[in-house]
Amino acid sequence: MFFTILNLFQTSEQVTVTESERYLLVYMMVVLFVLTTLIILFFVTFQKRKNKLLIEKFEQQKRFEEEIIITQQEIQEETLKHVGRELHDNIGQLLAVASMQINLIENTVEEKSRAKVKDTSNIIKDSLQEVRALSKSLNTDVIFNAGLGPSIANEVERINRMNVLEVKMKVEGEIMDFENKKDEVIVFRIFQEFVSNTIKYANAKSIEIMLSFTPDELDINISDDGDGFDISETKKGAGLINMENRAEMINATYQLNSEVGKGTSLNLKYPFKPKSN
Amino acid sequence: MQFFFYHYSLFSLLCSFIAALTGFLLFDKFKNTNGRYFIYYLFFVFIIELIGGYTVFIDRNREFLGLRDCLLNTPFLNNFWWYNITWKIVAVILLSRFYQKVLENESFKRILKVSTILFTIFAFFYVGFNWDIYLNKSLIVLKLTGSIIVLQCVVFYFLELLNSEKNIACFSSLEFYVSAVILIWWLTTMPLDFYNVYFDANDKSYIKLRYGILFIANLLMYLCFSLSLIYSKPQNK
Repeated sequence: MFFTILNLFQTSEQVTVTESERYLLVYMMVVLFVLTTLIILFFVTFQKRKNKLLIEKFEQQKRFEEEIIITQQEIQEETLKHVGRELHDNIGQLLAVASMQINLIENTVEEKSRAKVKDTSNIIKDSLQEVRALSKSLNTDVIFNAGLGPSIANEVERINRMNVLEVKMKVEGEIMDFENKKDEVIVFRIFQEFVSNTIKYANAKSIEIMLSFTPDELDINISDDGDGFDISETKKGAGLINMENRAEMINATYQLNSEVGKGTSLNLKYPFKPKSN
Repeated sequence: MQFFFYHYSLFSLLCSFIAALTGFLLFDKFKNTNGRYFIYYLFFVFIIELIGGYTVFIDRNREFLGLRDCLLNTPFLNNFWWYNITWKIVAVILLSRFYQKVLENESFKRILKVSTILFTIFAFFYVGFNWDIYLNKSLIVLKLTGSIIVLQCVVFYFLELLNSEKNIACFSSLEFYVSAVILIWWLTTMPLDFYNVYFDANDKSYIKLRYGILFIANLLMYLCFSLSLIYSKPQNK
């Protein structure tokens, strides 16, 4: 029954179409064509506007996140600076006084205790040196003034004195100062983060640092011979994310490679001239 | 003009060939995307046209006179049976499958899937109950129900784009252009099907008009398909 009704569409009489009916057909098709094209055009303009809004929203979000990162960074630097200054001014001062006094005592004590006092005096002197070096590596202003190369060299010496692992450093090309001094601090902090991660987790025996300066960019390669980890499976901790964020902030390309049993390496390329993109 | 109408089926075949060839040449570009299902669809359409042209071929070549005589009193002298099953049923199902891959909204997908299954069942019974018409005429009811499926695909796709928050790159996607072209083509050529009575009745002036319109529509559609294959960038899901 249903199908017979549907079949009303399919008459079988012999008929011809009149001229006006043909015009009607063409007219109908033209109208339909124009209408559907209009619908599509309407859709396209609407979509374009929406895309524009979406992009704006996205950029705003990005700016906001960048702002947060920068603020975070500033707070951190401020804290480090404060700790560094406290170390230098308070503990350093106390140690200096202690060192002076023990030097005075050294000459007054009996012969048999003198060696021990001498040792203690040396330990205090070493501590003083350590505290000063540490405060230097923490204080942004010092890095700011000394420049990246000397700061890294200073840090390398400090770690080597700790006798936990051996750090080798190599510099290629002529050391250049950054145009933006703040970026030097950030590169230095990335380096520090990597080294401190290696010391904490990697069980490494040595770290190799390679700084190559070219007129266009600074290429930093740091690698350790520690345990390594699986990047795809390990959850990124604050340290790793911070390194990445910092690198992004200064437009440096950041590449961290690690494999279980093969150690970890970091490649950082800092362009001296800002890329125009 | 005479030449054009005489070789109409050849020209029409050429149109679909252009699209299928572009799809074939650019297959590597869309190998890992949903675009490949669309390219399969273009191949399929080309094969429909190629095989569907057999009636004209037999008609025009003397060597096949014997074969023509064999077919003389059977429905296979015309190719309605072929186009009815391939173009009106299978092509619609393929297109719907393509959109089921493209769409991401689960409820749209489900509606499309259910309606395609319903359409398939309906088509099966409709052909079964109207075997005579199936063999000798173009089935306008199937064309109409199939159009509902196709328009559903396109409308769902556009709705999804409108609602999505992330489709910033839609103007470089193949699906977008294909959908736009399909929407225009299906809506515009729909009135032709209501005039099929005149086509069946061998009304010369109408047949010319119909061929002219269909050719322009097909040419534009397949050219647009080719251009969108060339222009669009493959998008991984």
